[in-house]
Amino acid sequence: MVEDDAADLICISVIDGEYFVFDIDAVKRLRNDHHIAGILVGTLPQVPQQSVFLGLPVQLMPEEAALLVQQGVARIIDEALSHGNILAVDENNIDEAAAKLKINELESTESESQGALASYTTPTVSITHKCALPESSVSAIYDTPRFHIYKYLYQKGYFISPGLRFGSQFLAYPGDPLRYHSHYLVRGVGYDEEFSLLELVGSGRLGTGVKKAWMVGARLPNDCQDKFAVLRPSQTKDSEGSESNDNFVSFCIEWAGFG
Amino acid sequence: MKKRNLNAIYTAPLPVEVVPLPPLVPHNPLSVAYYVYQLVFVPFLWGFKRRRRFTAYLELYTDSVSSYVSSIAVDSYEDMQGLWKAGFFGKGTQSRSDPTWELRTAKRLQEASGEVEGVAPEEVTARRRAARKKFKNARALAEQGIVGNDTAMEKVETCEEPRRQELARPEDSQLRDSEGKVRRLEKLQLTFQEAFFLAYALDIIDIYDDRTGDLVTVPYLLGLLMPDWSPDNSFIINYVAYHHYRSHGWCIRNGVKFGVDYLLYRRGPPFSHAEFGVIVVPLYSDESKNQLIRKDWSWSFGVNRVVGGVKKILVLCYVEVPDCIDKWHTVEELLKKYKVRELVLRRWIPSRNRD
Repeated sequence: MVEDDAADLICISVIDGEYFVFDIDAVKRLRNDHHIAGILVGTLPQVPQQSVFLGLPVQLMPEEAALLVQQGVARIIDEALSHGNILAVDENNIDEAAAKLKINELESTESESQGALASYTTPTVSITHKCALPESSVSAIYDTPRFHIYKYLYQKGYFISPGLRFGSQFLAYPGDPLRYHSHYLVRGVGYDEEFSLLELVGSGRLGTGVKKAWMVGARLPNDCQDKFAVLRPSQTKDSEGSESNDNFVSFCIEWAGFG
Repeated sequence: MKKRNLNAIYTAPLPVEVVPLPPLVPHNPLSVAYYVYQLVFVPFLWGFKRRRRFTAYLELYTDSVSSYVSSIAVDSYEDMQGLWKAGFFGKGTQSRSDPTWELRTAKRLQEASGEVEGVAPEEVTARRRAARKKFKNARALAEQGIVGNDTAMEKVETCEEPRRQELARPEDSQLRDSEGKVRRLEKLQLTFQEAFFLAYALDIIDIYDDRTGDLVTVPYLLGLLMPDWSPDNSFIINYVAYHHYRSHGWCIRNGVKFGVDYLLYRRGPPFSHAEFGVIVVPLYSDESKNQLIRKDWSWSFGVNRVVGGVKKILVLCYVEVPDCIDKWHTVEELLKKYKVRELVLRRWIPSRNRD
């Protein structure tokens, strides 16, 4: 029974601290069911000498990986350890390992109509499960301002991508990034954390310049949740499944350009 | 619109009067005598007679612990104009930059009679925005394929009546004094760095305490502006940068509107846009302190994008902070302890910067 649950989990491989998804089905599931797009970072084997169009794997932000693990949708696989395990199995019992790989391959060819594709996706799936890392490997960021604002927006249904090119932490899209432009440049701060007015002016100006709004937000500490009750629109309180959104406060800054 | 002759209006780069010395011919005794006369006596006479001084007022905010300077402002019309026209110091409290509130108000109140001469930069901006809007409307019409380019422009021009502003306002009656002139309500506010530069480096401004009316001396002013007297006090760090660029002949103004500390103009705002945006960064000899104020990668992307988007170049101005400063230093000794290093940061994209 436990095995069935595990097989249903999306495998996120961690390699040198970065999070990747190698399975195309998992990528589809992330995009369709969990509105997480990630970023394609793999070179296309057919056209390796360009970097405009990229393919698998999909790289996820640490926040995305942590959120998926927190929600029980995915598990983190230590890729380096898994490779070590394969080698170890090879030495001790080559026949058994080969048989296992073979079975896996057959299983996946059944689901895939094309044999060529199967060879990309097969071998590691069930073996790597053995090297799954516990939730504690990602839970360290659960309590960071970045993760708070990420989760806040995620729960409101936004697609979220890294915001480096606009000098922010995230970009929030109202729908699939293939269809929509992003609406917000997102910056998560700690409650009571200071940020300079220059940053506010610069980011507000930058956001408005690219037809977005600069959004800054923080999770309220437990002792001052009532303080901001007036700021929150009343309907968020009775909307379903967003109880953790109630203790979040966010503001959008735009450059008005008077005078 | 008539193009103003900027060189005639803004003649001096700083509000000081300069008399060039006559050519010196060593073997001609007359020349030497005249040279010595110019060198010694003219400044001496000027010191008493013709030297122009400005007056500013300093407002203090006092809480239970200590006093802080809340503003330094100039309120005489002549001083405001003098400081703006030579060196572009300060900002009009009711205007975007140069103090034009009086001009604009007078113009608004006497719109029909057209007695008032001159154009405020705010009006230039308003006109440009209107023209751009008109152009965009015309382009939109043309793109829809309704009409051709020329006819679109005509159409927009005809359908858009020159919209007259609602000029009268309820407070207008209080804006005039008994003689019917517009009251002078605007002040020219100086940044602390500007005020200190005028008081210390140029020595052409007298700053008075607003409440007591006492003259504020340079050492006392410095004490008010950096009460903690720490080597990395933000006033002194910014002043070092300010003094540095003024000394190199730049017109330096506050850059908060572009998210940077300072903007560098070659001559001044009316002549050209600022070429550089400066961010002042204190640089400690103790590396752990540098780590505390370290900015992240995305910060540099953001700042560079804002500054690059308005066609300026980002300068990181590192001010080396001395380990300790003595309260008994003169200002000169104090400034000598600081060093300035600069770094230009530019976004470089290989595909766009090849040719």
